[in-house]
Amino acid sequence: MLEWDNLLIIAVLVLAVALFASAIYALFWASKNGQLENFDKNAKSIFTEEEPEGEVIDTFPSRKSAVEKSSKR
Amino acid sequence: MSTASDIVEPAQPQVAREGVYGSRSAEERVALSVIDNSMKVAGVFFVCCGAFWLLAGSFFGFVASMKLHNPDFMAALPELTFGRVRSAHLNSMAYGWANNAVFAIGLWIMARLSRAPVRHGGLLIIAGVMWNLAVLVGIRGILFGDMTSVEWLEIPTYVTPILGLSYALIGVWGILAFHYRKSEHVYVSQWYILGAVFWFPWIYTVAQMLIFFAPARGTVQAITNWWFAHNVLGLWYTPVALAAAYYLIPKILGKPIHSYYLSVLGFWSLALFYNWAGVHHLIGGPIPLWLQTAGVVGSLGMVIPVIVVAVNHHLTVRGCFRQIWNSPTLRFVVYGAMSYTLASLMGSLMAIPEVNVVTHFTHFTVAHAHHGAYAFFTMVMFGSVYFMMPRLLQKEWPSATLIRIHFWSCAIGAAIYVIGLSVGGWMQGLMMNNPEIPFMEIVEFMVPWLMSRSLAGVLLTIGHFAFAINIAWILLGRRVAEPKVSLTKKAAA
Repeated sequence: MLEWDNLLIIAVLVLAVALFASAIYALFWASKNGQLENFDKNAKSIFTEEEPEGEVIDTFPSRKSAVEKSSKR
Repeated sequence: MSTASDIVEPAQPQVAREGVYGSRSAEERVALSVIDNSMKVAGVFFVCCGAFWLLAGSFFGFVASMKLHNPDFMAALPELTFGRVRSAHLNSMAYGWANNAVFAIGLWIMARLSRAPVRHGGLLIIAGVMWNLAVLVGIRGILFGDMTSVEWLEIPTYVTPILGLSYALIGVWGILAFHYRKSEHVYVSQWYILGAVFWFPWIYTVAQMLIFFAPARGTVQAITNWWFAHNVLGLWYTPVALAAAYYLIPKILGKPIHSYYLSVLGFWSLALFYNWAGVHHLIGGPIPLWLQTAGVVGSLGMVIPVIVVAVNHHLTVRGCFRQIWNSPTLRFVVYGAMSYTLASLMGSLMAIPEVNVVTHFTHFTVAHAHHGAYAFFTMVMFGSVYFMMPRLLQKEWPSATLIRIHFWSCAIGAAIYVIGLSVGGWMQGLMMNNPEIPFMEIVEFMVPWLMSRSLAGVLLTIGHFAFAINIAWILLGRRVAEPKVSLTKKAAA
């Protein structure tokens, strides 16, 4: 007997299964896609030409110019 | 994870082919300043709404805190009775401040890491307006007697479908930004944000369904309630704050994360364990024992991602501690990251039944909630806003002093809050477990500790005002200084 309540419970269960399946898929995809390899390169993917590696890019407004000179680590 | 490919891969002449930062050509990869610009209106909107809710929530929180040691405070106003004002505090902080912060920071970091601009920002604004109006109507409902009796879900059910719908619109933007990514690697922050974007609608709709729209029987409602309430923190706020920390700490220091392997391990172990932890709110309650045990195991399992994150962040920051004080963002984010470690380890401890027997039903739990939601999540969000806004607006923050006031009053306020209520709450728990101590004695004993909370609340509110003033100033003020270095540099590239 499919009443409104039962339908919702089924929806909840389907949602849970779908979410679990998508998590498994994501892990599988990540592994197949090479996301779990080559960690050094992945770690550097946040740097760009504009905000490059090796440069400190956030300072207090007032001290800015003073720190800029010594920002090259 | 195979080591074989690790060894083989770098041998290829990648650097020659693709330059230092990925294999896509420079034209294909979208410049960060273009992405920032595409997020400008939406980001500023969310931050402003967040700041508004932060102030409103501070007011509600302060009133609630005062009433606990001074019951006559504002007693003439029925809308501000403790039960209502406390829920108004929780909901304006959670769905007002925290969610707006997540929308701004999460979407922005996602867009930046995906190297893809935010498309159709106008629709995002409409969803944002809907969300904030729904929260407004919800808080009004709470204050004027329409609230539900379910903690974390007090917003009356006539608003929640609108909340769900507007969230869906906003969440889709996160997924779309990821879908149209131009970047090659999925950085760990993207994993966290993508996870959060999927998890939040899941827990929210399931909780709404099982508690309100098709109420489950008996204690199943309580289980759903705490599964939801804990996962709002664990699967929604925490991943986004960790994403921000994983993005901002290495980014600002100009130094890659110490171990990318650990960061990925941290993400997947969080995804595995956090969902189970919520039941620890019902330890000793009338729910199946196996479920309580599963909750305890899940909570203790959280030690893995927490230690992983702590070690990783610490080793990244090591040697650069001076930079933390030079960067408004980093001092907030590092404070938050340290609080994450502490708060989460405490949380795991509190799930052990022997400890829980003392801490349950005391202010210790309240201290813990604020340790996570404030000292960790909110502080990281403050830091992220300090990093994001100058880049969105191409302006520098007008006042360094206000940032310092903000940091110190919030840092000290949060410390007083957490330490005061933890110590007081622990003693409260010990006293309550001793049948020889009359209850009134415990109530009187708690007064000074509760006063320390009000004091902390004042400090936090001062910080929030400094934050709000700085936001208004950067928006309305003239261009005070040259824009961030990174953005001017871009023109040459």
